[in-house]
Amino acid sequence: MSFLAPGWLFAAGALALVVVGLHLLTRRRPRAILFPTARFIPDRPASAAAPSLRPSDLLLLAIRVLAVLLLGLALARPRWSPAHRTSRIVLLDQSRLAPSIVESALDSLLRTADRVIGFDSTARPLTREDWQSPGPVPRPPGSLSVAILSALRAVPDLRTRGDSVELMIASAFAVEEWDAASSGLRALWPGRITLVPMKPVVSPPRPSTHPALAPEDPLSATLTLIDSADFSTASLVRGTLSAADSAAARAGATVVHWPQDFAATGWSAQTPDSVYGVEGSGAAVVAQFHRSVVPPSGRPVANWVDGLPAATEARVGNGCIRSVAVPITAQGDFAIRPSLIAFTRSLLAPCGGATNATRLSDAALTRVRGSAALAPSSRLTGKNAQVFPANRWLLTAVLFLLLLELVLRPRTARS
Amino acid sequence: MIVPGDYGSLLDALAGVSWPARKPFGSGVAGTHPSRLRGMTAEFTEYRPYRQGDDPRRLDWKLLARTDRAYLRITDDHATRSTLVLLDASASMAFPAPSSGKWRQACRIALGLASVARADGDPVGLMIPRDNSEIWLRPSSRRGVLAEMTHAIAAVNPEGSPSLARGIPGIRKGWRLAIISDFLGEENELLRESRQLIVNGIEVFALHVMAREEIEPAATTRLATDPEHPEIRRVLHEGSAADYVTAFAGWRASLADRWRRSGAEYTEVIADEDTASVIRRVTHGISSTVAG
Repeated sequence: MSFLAPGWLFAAGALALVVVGLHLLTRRRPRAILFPTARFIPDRPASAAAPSLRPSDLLLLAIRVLAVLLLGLALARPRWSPAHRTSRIVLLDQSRLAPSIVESALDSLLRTADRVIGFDSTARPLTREDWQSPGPVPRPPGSLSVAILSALRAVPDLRTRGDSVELMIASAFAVEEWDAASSGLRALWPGRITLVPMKPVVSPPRPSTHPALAPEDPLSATLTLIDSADFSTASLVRGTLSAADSAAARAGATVVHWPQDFAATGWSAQTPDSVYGVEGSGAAVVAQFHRSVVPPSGRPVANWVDGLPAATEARVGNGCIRSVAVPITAQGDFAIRPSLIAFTRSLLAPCGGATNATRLSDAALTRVRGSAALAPSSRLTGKNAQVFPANRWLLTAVLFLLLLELVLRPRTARS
Repeated sequence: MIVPGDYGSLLDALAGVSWPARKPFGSGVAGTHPSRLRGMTAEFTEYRPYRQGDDPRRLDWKLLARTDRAYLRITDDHATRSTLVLLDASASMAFPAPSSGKWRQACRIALGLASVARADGDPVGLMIPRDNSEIWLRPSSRRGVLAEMTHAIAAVNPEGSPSLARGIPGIRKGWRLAIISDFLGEENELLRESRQLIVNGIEVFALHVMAREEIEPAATTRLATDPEHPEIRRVLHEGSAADYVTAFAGWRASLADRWRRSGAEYTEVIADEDTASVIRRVTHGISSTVAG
């Protein structure tokens, strides 16, 4: 048997000693009698009772001491489960940077876990079949914030399996997986975290070439100022999409559909108007744009200054197709403005955003790992959330003893 | 509750005891007590020469015929004396619990004195003041008056704090009054009223009933509460017992002195004392106090 709050036992013992002391040293009130000639007794304070060091009313004393000790025992929260049992949670990275096949060493580690949670941009509990099969396709980027949060939410289900929880994270620990909320969520875990680094899986860069555009196309001037490396995973389509473009998108490429003539696209037309700026992925272009169509539905990747989408992204296979409804004019130097160049580069970024597989710094990993002991279940679940069946019985016994003491007290006082 | 059957042995023990009046008194009803009146009874005392104004019917006509001298025949008259027992049934008389020894002794004395007076041919009556009423048996010479008194007493439980002095004004001249009480309530008022009765020729007997526990309390520590005045609460212990005994004895001595100086017969009675002895002491005019 172990106690979650053993301090209450010592407090109850001390209080029991106080009760015994008070019982022995209490000033006993004299027996009351009717005495017709009481008026002739010298008038002295009636409370001046004789002190008694004799242990009278032993039954009453025993009941009081027992009630105090049982109350202390209940507050100490005894546990009948084996002490020092540690439950284990493993967070398995299933993001785009994680290998799709779990290594044998990691597999044996996952077998010993009480709970396995897979995570990328979301988290889900995994069975053995789940972690041995390839992950979902396409694989979104990972988030350690989501992983830690899912571990915190899984702890209450494991509180009866041990008095401490070991958290293990098997991940690539790439920079892209660490966001602004990660540090705060890490601080919520009151113990150390065991890190199991995984080698990030990064697609090798493909040979890249500039797309061939017509010389009269104003965007051709823009592309000349963009590094060809930006086209390693992206292709630009100024006309209509072809089957080859769709196939490339399914294969994982980023197809940027930026029509030169919007009328031929079949996109929804809107009342022509002018708008004076567009922004996407941190790049903004301030100019007068004559807006006439609305891009197809999808995840907005660029917006007009009035909030309407200027470019959307739709997942196709392992890649995506970005539809850009931003007209480019050939007037002036608009096509070679740095803002337009940056905006164009942001549209050429890989699907789901740019991949940053750089490993977190050692200092950052040390902070994630922490140096404290394993997290106690009581701190993770909250002290008040735990109710032990023994407590109810002990508190019931205390209540019964107190009622018995109330019943016996007048009898002993009269005797 | 007093059981009437308890009094059988007492009444047997009091057979032959009489309760004569202390002084002659005037009364129109013939009885056993000497009267101040000189009447026409057969008990001859002396002759006295006729004086102007004497009732001619009292002349001894035969002596006048024989000696030609006018003399009055003087005889002693005897009269009855109504006896009223004033019994204190206040809460303090229920001491000590649970035997109520003071109340039992007071009841036995009341019945004993009544039986003695009744045996002398005197009318006897009973008054027991209560808080809001009173038990009043007018002095009577009826045969069953003692039984009525017995049943009246048996129905009473001592409680409350009734005023004994309240029953005093109903007493008539020439009566005899026996007050049986512990005198722990309004004793000054009762003494004042009794003094007025004594001046009017009424014999007053004050029987002070007390328990032995009141005279010599045990040395154990107790919180004593006056049953008639609950606000009086004192701690009686070994240290205060001596002071209590002294104070109580002083009060008793003062009380006895005041009653006797007012002309009453004052007798102290212990609750566990033999009742017949007490009654003989009272009827023979032996006033007594308890040492202590």
